[in-house]
Amino acid sequence: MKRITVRKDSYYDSVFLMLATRELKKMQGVLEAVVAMATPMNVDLLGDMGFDKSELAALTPNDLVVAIDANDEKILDASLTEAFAALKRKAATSDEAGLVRTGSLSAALKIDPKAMLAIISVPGAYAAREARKALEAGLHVMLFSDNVSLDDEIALKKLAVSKGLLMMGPDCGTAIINGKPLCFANVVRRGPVGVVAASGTGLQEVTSLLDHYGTGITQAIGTGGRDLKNAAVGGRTSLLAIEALATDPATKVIVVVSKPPAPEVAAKVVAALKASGKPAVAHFLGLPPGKDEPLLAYASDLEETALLAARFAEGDTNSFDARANLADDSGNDRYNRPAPAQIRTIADHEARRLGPGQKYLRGLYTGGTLTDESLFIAHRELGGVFSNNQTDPAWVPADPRVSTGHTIVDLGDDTFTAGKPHPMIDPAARAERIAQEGADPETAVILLDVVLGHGSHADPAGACVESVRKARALAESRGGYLPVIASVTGTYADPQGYAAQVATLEAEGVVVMPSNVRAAILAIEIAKRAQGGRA
Amino acid sequence: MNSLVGYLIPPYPWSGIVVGVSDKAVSILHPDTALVSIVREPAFMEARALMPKIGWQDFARSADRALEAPAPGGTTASWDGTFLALRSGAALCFSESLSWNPKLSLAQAAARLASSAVSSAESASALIGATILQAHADGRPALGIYGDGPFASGFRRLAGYTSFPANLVGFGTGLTPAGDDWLAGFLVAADLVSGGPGIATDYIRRSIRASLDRTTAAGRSLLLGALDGSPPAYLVELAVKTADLAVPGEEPLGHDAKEHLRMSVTAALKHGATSGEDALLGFIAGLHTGVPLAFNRSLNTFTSVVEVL
Repeated sequence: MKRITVRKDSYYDSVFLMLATRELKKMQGVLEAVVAMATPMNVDLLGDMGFDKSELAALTPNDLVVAIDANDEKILDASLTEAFAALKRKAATSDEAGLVRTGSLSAALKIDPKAMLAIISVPGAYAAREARKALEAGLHVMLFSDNVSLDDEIALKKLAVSKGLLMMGPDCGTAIINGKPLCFANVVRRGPVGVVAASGTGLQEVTSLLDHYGTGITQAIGTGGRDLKNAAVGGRTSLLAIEALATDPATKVIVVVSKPPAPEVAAKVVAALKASGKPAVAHFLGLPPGKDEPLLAYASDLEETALLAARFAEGDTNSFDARANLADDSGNDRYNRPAPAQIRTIADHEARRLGPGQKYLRGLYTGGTLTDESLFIAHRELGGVFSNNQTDPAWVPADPRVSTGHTIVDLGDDTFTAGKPHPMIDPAARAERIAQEGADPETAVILLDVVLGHGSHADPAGACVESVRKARALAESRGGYLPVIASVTGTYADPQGYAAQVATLEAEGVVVMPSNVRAAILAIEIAKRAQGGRA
Repeated sequence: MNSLVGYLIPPYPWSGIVVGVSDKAVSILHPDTALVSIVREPAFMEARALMPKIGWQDFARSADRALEAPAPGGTTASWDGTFLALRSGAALCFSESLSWNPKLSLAQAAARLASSAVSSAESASALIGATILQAHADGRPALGIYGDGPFASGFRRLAGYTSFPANLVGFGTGLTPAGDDWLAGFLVAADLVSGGPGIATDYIRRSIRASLDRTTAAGRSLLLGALDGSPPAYLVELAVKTADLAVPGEEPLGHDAKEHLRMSVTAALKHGATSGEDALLGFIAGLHTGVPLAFNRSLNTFTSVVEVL
């Protein structure tokens, strides 16, 4: 039973037309459905399909035709009702995955009034306005945009707190909410750990390691870099997030990760963690860890943060027990940590073939927090490292595009990304830099991060192996050898697959360590041997 | 970034009817019965499109509101060469705009490809086909012109006629019918392997031009640009990256031309519902159509792609 219905002079986005067709075809009793423009070719096709040509004769290419072949009249009526109900959602479109798109926040809310969170990624000049609208509509906000003024950030966060809503960002690129990775985030199993992080790749590293350790997360809440760092912002989002996790019965452990916070803000965060009554782990990158308290452990790096949280998640009731249970760093425990002795053995092996002029560590990072983590350790251990992320101007290179001495660069910094994709999205710039370091006879070891997850490049390891191969060939042509050390931040369930990415790197002779901090320690050990003349 | 004005925007002054708003463009029906698009970003540019430097979001919202409560006779938009204004008062300024014309880029791309046209075109077509297949393997539904359903079988039937591919004008799903997307891809690729924009397959071009009243306003707009050698920006990018395969060794180390082409294909697949995929399939066919005499050979190659997909 066939029926044609026409909507004269209609304009609907192609994506929407496809969605309407798919919805109709899914209906029980619908044998065939076509939603298309009434061009002569399409009219001919419908005629060939057995639809009444006389009904089609007077149509023009700007008319929309809905043609349905169904088992009976009742199904025809129902399917046409469905088709035209869908047509009323004029502003909505949908991609092939069924994701609904709209032209405005209000239109989106009309389609899904139950939505609870808005991700906002618009130019900075418009970002605050859109975020305010979302908050006023009762939505939590993840504000991906940067270039939002400090005044706007404070005002937005005040508004959010007054409404009991999370204002994640500005410049918040990573979160996992109710199991859904948002923007740059990994596919992490659900579990009892709640994470609050003022750092993107820091959050990714900790949550991925938790997954590797067999536990998982309730929520991973990004706050934006200024939330804890700037006293005027005052950690408003972090404090609300901690409060939310404290009252969440599924969250048994709370983790806070941040770049160096303003001291008064750090004090508030610590007070909030203690007030939560739940075991907590705090890691303030670049600051010496505080003294452990029964329910609050201070971690010295991202890996230790995840380890301590995993111990709490597994039932350790206080930080002293948790730390004691991690003391066996022999390389044989279930957390897959190469022990210091093992790292030294690998370093000996890798450094043995270095040429006489090879002296320096070159870290080429795509993740900002991972850069910082390695930089802090290497700067201390190697007596000074140049970096575009250095706070001490004496160690900021005149031109970050060229390495001098020991250098660790954050290739995701604005210096490198103006007008270009971030290197986590397009690793080409890093591949070029690997080649550049390989051509430098003073390079003794290259240190890399490989960040997986949604938002990242489809094959970040594969994108750099060719340049690794060529860089190593160059070193060997000079009579030397070039160790390349990497860590992979991600999980087995990530779209790129942790195992496959590690295998790709290892096939090229890259030494892959289980965490960024271990990779940095190994690279530092090699650089020390290079400088010590043992090469 | 400057405002952009596509070089096939009809001469001012004129007034058209706003017929649609999406998250990428505001569509205006020009009296010449083809659309003019006001696009949000350079990536969405076409020869009959305008891209303002600022103000697109507000303009789109005004247009959307006007569409929800249309005035008698529709919502008009007027163009005076500098301002595009809605009757409601919302306006965009194009006083410091650049003309958008991709022909020079396409001519340079064609020149690069000329040195090794056969091998580069073939490796590009293999890579594009493989990337599409991979997208399907990764879960992208096969809904394009080569997919399942009545339009796919209709397409295969049309491919057997001597009037193919001009008989695709206005054929298929979408506001821009899938056949028009296929033809746009076909024409840009045919131009690429034939020496420059707007010159390949003259007899097919004439047939398409004669059939423009058989498609929608959106399809007409697309085909007017493609016939003149100026496809949408995403197809320009695809053509340029295809030509880049012809100059191995000039790319920086690790900067793989094939990877760039693959990224262009992935970006194209995100264009519209099936528009990007349909255009890519036309592009593959066009790569094997350097001159009209080669058309039968190209049909053989193209048919094999149909079977694969």
